Parts: sequence; structure tokens; C-alpha cells
Amino acid sequence: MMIPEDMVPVQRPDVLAQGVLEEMVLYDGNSEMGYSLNASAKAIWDACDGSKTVVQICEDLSDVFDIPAGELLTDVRLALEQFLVLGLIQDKRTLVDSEAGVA
Amino acid sequence: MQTLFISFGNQEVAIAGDVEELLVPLAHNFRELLVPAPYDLLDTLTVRREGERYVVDGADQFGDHDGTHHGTMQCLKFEIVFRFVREHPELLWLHAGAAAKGGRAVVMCGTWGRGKSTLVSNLCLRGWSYLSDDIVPVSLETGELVPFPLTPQMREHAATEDDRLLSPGEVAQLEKRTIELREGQIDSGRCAIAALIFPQYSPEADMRLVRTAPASATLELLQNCLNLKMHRGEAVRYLGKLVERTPAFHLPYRHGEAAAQLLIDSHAQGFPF
Repeated sequence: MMIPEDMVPVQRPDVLAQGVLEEMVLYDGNSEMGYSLNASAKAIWDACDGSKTVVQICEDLSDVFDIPAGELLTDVRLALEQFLVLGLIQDKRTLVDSEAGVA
Repeated sequence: MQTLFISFGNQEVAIAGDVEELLVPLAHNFRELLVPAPYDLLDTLTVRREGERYVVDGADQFGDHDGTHHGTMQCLKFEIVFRFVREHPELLWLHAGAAAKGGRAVVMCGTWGRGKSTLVSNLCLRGWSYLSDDIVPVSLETGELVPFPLTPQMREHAATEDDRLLSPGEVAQLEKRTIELREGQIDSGRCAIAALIFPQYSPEADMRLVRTAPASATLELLQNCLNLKMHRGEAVRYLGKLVERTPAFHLPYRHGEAAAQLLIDSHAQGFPF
């Protein structure tokens, strides 16, 4: 699965996120599964607020990690792909389309 | 018919039956929690023989056990514990063991076969207070550990005649030996938690305390929380906070005595990592 650069990832509302020091635990109330995120994955998760595309997330994280956005793209896509496969995030564009009745 | 009254927090679960071969070992396992008469009886389970099988009337969590002696003992143990779990939602119930020194407990958390009991027993054999062998309730209000002193047991000698250490699967086949504690060694009071330990017995283990990443420690606690479904978000938040204020370590080990000594030394130094 290739995460498109214009995807707008948004955290699913039924996933509980608990920061633990610099890391994070996610608990999916539907599947009753838990996941641990290291500091880098936490930063990507935090950026999934439904307001930014994948490219914009990389640009934001570029400032945080002091790494060029282009170099972050592969890792960010990989993390988002895992979040998506695990059902932890959604693509906001799809939500907007379905809410508007677009097929 | 004989009846055992098993008590926690001034509430009792009664186990009735005339199957001595089950009630005697059950009374032994719960001997520190037995009372002569109920104060506030929660429920009664009746165990009886039906042909070659044992049946537990009133079982609602593990009623589909295999009817063997071992399966029925497991069923009874879980049924008893889960009645207390249901009755005490103010506690988070962890699959863990615990022992304490100077009022500060070390909690050994993990699923079956990780070596919790071996560490707890070895600490108690070196004078620590005994709190729990298998189940550790933690107060959501105060963060303190509440004793749940099932009779401590340890598997005999995890080494063969040729001095080869046994695999976890082989260790599981060994008979358990009851650890006899001296009078007053069982702690009846609540206790602060000094450290969280995730043990891992393995004959190849290179023993050391390895600081556990905070999110991983929280996740392990969640995986070993018996009433997670009861609390969900509150449990996640609470255990995350517990990890933030409590040092957490993985402890791979192969010799229980040496691992207990490492814990004793680390506890004396306040787990400085």
C-alpha cells in the first residue's frame, strides 16, 4: 500500500492515546488492542490531526527533527501505512467525501 | 459437605462440596485468605463429581473447563478471583507477583511461565515480606498495592542432573513446592510500588536489568490487567502514570537466586538507572 502524498490522516476518535514520558500508548477500544509508539512515531501520530497532508506533516516534522522533509517522507509514509492497516487513522478526504455523499 | 470461605476485603466466596481431593489443595492455595465464617458472602460455588469429571455449579467465567483435576482447580481459582475482581472496581488487578522490603514493593509482572513465582519466592526466602504470588491488585485511588497472598509456590530445581538448565516448557512440567514463610512475613498492609519488573526466565538468558521503554512497560501492564475491559481508558491513563513515576525493567534470567540477589541490591540502591 502506498500512502498518497495528499492524504490527510486523522486519528480515529475511538482510539485512546496516552502519552507516557516521551512515548505513547494507543488503545483501540473496538479491537481491544494496544500499541506502543516511540518518540518518533508519537510525533507522527500527534501530527495526524486532520488538518495536514502527508507532505505538510513531513514539513512540520522537518523542523522538529532537523531533517529535510524529503528525507522524512519514506519513514512517515511507513508509519502512516501501519497506523492505517491497524485501523488507528483514517483519510479525512474520504470522510468528507462520504459525508457529502460522494461515491 | 465441606465449605471453604475465601475472604478479600471483608467479602467472601464460598466453595462447597464433598470432593476432598479438590478442596484440600484449594484450601492450601488460599490458606492465607480463609476465614471460619462469612462476613459478607458474595457467592457460593459448588463442586461435585459427575462420573469421571468434576463439575462446578455456579461457574460463569470458566464453566467450560475440561473436568480434570487440574482443569477444575484452575476453574475454581479463576472463578474465585474474578468474583473479587468484579466486586472491587476501585482496584486494577494485575497478573503479577510481589514482595516488599521496608514497605516498598517490587512487582513482577507477566504471563504464565515468565518466572514471577521463582523471583517472589527467592526474595521471601531472603527475608522479604510476601504480598502475592500471582495476582496483584493496585488501588486506583492511592496507587498502592493491596496484598493478595495466595500460598507462595516455586517449581523445584530448573536444572537437570547433567546441570543443563531446563527450557520454560520443561520447567512447567515440574512439581511446585510450597514456600514456608515465617510468622509475620506475609504483609497484610498496603504498600508503595518501588519498581516494576518484567521477568523472562530462559536457560540462555544473560541476566541483567534492562530499563523498559515507557510505552512498552505500559503496554505490558495493560496486557496483564485482568479488569482492563472494566476500565479501558481509565486503566490506560492510570498505568501510563504509574510507569511515569515508577522505574520499570525487563529481567532476563536463568538462576532465580542470582536474579533475586540482583533485585535486592538494586532495591537497596533505589533502582538507580
